[in-house]
Amino acid sequence: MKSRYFKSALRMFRKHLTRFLTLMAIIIVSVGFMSGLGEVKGKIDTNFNNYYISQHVSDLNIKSESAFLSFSPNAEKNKQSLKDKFGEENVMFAFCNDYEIDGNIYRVYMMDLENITVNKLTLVSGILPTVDDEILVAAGSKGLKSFDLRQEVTLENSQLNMLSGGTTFYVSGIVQSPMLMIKDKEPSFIEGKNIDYCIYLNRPKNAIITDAYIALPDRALFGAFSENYKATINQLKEELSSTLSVPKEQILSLYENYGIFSLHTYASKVGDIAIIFVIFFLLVTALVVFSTMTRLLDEERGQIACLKTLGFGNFKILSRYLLFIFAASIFGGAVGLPVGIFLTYFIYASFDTQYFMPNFISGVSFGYFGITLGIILCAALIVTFFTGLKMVKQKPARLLTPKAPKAGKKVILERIPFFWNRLSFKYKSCLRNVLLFKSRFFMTVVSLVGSTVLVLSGLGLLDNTIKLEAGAALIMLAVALIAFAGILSALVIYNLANINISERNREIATLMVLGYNNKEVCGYIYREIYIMSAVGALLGIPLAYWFMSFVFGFIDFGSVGGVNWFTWIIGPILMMLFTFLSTILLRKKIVKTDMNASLKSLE
Amino acid sequence: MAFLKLENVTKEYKTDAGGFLALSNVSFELENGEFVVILGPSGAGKTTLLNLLGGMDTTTSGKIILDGKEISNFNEKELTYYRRSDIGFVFQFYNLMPNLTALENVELATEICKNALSPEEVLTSVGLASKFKNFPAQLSGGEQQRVSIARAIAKNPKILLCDEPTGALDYITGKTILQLLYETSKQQNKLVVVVTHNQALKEMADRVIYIKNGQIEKDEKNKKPKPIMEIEW
Repeated sequence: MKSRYFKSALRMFRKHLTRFLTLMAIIIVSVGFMSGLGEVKGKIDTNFNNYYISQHVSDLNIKSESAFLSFSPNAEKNKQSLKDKFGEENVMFAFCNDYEIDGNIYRVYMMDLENITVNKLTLVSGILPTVDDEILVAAGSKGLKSFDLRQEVTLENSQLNMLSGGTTFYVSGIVQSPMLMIKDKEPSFIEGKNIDYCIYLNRPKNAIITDAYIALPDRALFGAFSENYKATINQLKEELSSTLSVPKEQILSLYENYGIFSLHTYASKVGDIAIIFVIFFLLVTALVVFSTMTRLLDEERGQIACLKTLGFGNFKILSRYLLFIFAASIFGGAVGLPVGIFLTYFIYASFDTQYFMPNFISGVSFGYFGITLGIILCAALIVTFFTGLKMVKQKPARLLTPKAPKAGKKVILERIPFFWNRLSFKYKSCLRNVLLFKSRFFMTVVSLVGSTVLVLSGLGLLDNTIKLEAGAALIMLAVALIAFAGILSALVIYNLANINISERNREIATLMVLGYNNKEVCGYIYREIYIMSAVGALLGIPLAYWFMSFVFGFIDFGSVGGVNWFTWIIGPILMMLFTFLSTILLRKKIVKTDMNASLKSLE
Repeated sequence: MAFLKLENVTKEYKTDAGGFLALSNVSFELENGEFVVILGPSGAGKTTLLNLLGGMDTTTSGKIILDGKEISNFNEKELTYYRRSDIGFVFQFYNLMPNLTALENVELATEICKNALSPEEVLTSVGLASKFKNFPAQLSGGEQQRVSIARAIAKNPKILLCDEPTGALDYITGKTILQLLYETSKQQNKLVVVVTHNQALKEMADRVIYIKNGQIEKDEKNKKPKPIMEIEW
């Protein structure tokens, strides 16, 4: 036989279904956002690390303008010593120079294309050159031009032609190089000019070497620009320049590779933003869960009293409420996870407009997801447990008597007769309610302030990113922040309004019996919700100002001054719009209130 | 034509277990200025009857005619207007707004009525002249019920409907409240309908309608109603 207790718990779920679903939705949005945004930096780091390993990306690039690698009697010895130090397969020599031909800057590489061991090229289309007049060309992007496959290219430059042995070339393949990760313009060696084309000539026995590309044998050291790595690189630079007699400025590292390092910088910014907003989302969510559960328990007073008188144990009584929030969190988390994965992918993909990103390796990292869901779940269970415990520990006799309605009293505004006497009783009642139920007022206003700050921050970030022409990734991040903060705010407002209506069921029924029509009854309840929303939205403005100053300082990007003046208006208006939408959606709930609720005793 | 007329009123509720007949073929006629007690045990159909008279629910079949208007034909909007202008409702648990003063609670009702009486005068008439500015929590149960009655009277309705008006009050206070309702019916020539399970109240009524299992069991006129203060229970 199914336990009757279980059945009654199920009915409790059904009774508070809207609240359950809203809580679940809040957790979906919150956990989705937090895990999605939080994982972006890790994902970029991991994927770039994999790429770094698979393409055997060089950590050091010795650019020898002197005769270190060519033309010197010691050249062969120098090259051999590098190979000895780092290992044959970790050192690659090439000729690399920039030429200005017909107004375009060409970066020209000459090396053994068949045996590239370091900075492996990815062949996007075509094949490797088979004859001397065939070349590879780097794939085009916003900043870089390219040629078609099998296109004939004529390059007239005396030095180049001498080295290459001809002026006319055919494109045999299009490639992508780890050295050219950015899709924006990459500076050339010619002062003030950017690279227009990048081509590769197959010259296995090329006599002139300008560059040595060195990959550290310990590939694990990199760790997405770890501190250890940085120290090692600096140390190696010192060492190489002192024993090998190359000026330090001619030893470049990945820190000087604009494409790779800017990708890392952007990823770190996203990581920084993520941390701040994850904390903020977490606070708002925890607060909402907290107030929802305390108010739910208040409404369940009668039920709890009944179970107590029947002799159910405290923990057994509490377990159904713990199950309520546990289920909402777990279901919410289960749906939030794919939402988060999608968000990570979405922001990761937005980096693609600026960088030749390594392929997105799907797979789930549970770090942020586990931590954020874990915190929400723990906070929710603890709050429910202790609030509930306080209630069930009371003597059943006391629990059975309804909680006395909070005594009405004069509020501070009544001391201003000029103002107060002009109000109709509707506004008097409303203002008294707003000011009387301090914890309800506080919870609602703080939730609203939090939501307003989140939405305003998203909008402010967007203003700055657009003004500063920041990467598409940051813009997408701002858009995602606005969207998630917006949805979260709407849900928070809906949730609070819904609870408010449930708690005032009896008042609503009484007003209906007195002959108030739907519009008047809704107005009676909604006036308070609007006032609380407005207070929260307005207080959110100065707080958002302060918060944004902090955020912009923390991520070292943008400024509060860069936020458009109308953004400060749009944010609060958006909040009021969400409030308005929530009240429209909840109208049905008020209108359908059973008037018989007014005849029953208080429970 | 009677002031209030019920003709074969039937109310059936649909439940999971099938139809449930809460009222079947209830008919009676009531006049202005009458003090009527509807008596019956719990589950007899009293609340259903009250809901129908109060415009809070609609009949399954049959007619309810008040002052020449057939309210059983009303749509939802008309019913709202009916509750607003024609019905004064006195609740067992008063149902005052805790955050409004006594006077404001009365104003809550009069604000939406066209022919409302002066809230101050009505409150004075129920003996609360000195309590205008008190909040419900600062009033005794009896005083709260007086505010509730004042709220119903001030609307200047056609009927006062009272649901166990003394149910939550002590013996003495209960009596004074009944006295007040009785006087209202006589002095203002109002139809007052009190729904109760308290048998003792039948002695004070002009008219007693017994209801059982959703049907009228007995409908009698009381030629010599006893003053409420002489009734014991």
